[in-house]
Amino acid sequence: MSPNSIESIRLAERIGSNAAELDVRVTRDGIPILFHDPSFSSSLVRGLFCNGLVNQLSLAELRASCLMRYGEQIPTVEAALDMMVNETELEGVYLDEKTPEGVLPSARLVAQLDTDLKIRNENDDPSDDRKFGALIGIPNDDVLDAWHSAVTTLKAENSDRIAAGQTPLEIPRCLLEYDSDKVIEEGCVAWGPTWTDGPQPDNVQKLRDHGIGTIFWTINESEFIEGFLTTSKPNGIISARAALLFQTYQLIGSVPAPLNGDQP
Amino acid sequence: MKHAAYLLALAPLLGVAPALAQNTPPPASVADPAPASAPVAAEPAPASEAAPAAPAPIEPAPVAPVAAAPAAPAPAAPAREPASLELFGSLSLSIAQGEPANPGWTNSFRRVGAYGEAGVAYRSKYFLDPFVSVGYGSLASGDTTLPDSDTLINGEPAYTAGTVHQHLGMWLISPGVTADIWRFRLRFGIGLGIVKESNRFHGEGNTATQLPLAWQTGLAFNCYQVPRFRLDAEARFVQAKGADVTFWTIGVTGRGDLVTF
Repeated sequence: MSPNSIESIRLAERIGSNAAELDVRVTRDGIPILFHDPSFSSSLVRGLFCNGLVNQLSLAELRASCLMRYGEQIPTVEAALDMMVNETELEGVYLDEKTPEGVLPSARLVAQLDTDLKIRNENDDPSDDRKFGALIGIPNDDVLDAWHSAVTTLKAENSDRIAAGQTPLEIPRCLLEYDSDKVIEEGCVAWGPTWTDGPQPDNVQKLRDHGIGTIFWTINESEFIEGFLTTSKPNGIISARAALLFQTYQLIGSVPAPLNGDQP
Repeated sequence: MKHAAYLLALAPLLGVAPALAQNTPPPASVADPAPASAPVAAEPAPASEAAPAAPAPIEPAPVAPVAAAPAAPAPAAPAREPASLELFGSLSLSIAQGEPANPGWTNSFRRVGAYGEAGVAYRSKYFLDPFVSVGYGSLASGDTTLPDSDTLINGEPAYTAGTVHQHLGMWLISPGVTADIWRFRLRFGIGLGIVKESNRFHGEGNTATQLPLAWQTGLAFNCYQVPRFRLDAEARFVQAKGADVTFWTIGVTGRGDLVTF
């Protein structure tokens, strides 16, 4: 099963995940899709005519020329969000923005989704409530700059919507991957450090004191899963072995202290 | 001479006699030796009829040595084929491996194309000859018809139904080496591929480019040879693994000496 496919998201839910981390890139015509690498390669895609950089093909060319390695279609972010909300019980998604160009179109989709869910959860019918959070993942300063720009754009668009008598969209929330101090400074709701920097319990606790959660990526070895769960008690761990993580958490994990605000 | 030298080296392994080497003049050392320094014994001159019975001592008549004959060459070192700077060019049919991603949507598909190449090689006196070449292959093309997109942008499909015309081409810039064994020539090179994926959809053209490492290996057979020019039939395998482009070629390669040393 190919990573970042709709099928892999369904599988993640079946093996015990309650959220998914997905990689976002944009096509030449500006449509955010789920794909990890900057270029198409045989390790991720199939198709004799599937070549070049991801941002060099339009969505139509992508559909004509490329499938994922095991035959799945490369999904758009819109299709993935729609499927996760309506066809699974997953509670969240962390959109890892691989390029600055993907931030604004992804943020627009998340803003619309958050707004729709807010309306849905605030109506009088509790049976259609849906708990789901989407975070924009920021891995570096270039994407952070794009994030600032996207927030400014969304706020300007909201002003236009209010002026037109429409409901303003929710401003999405962010997850910063690299600098724990910057997470606080930027007002993001989560920190997503790489596990190779160690459990960093002091930083995890410092951010928790600010109501910010921590999600480590990507831990697949059982001894490290156990070590991180017991040492720093993060809010989440991204793993390709979700069932192992789930089992280990059931055996030795503990629920982190509640955060002040919304959490993923 | 180079062919013969290699064959001599390989003969014990191949179980063949060096005499199989073609296009090779017989080595001077096996030519009929000229008895330059060995005077031929002359027959004694006939005695005079008036001579008394007691024969006078007969001195052998002086005979010019045969070595003086102009036809007899002096022994010399074996002639060596000169090193040269060689220009070469090839033209081949190509067959690309792989399938289109969506065969159900693909109306037409062609995997047979053409590959052309030009390069320069240094034909040394030794076993390996370095070369650098630049080639281009028009490898495959196809037409894929899409339905309307199910992704909506501002309420409209991201694209409307239509046919995407696809073309795959690749440049190969490759240094490498060749080695001659009898009339065969082995080739190996590794270099840079420039994979060009061209699409045309609703009249709009677009080209995507990828720069993977690529390697090639081939086997040629020398079919025709005159001084300073050779013509080979050659089969080749080219792969750019990073872009998942693999193709075979079969064609002819002409090689001519530009400068000899």
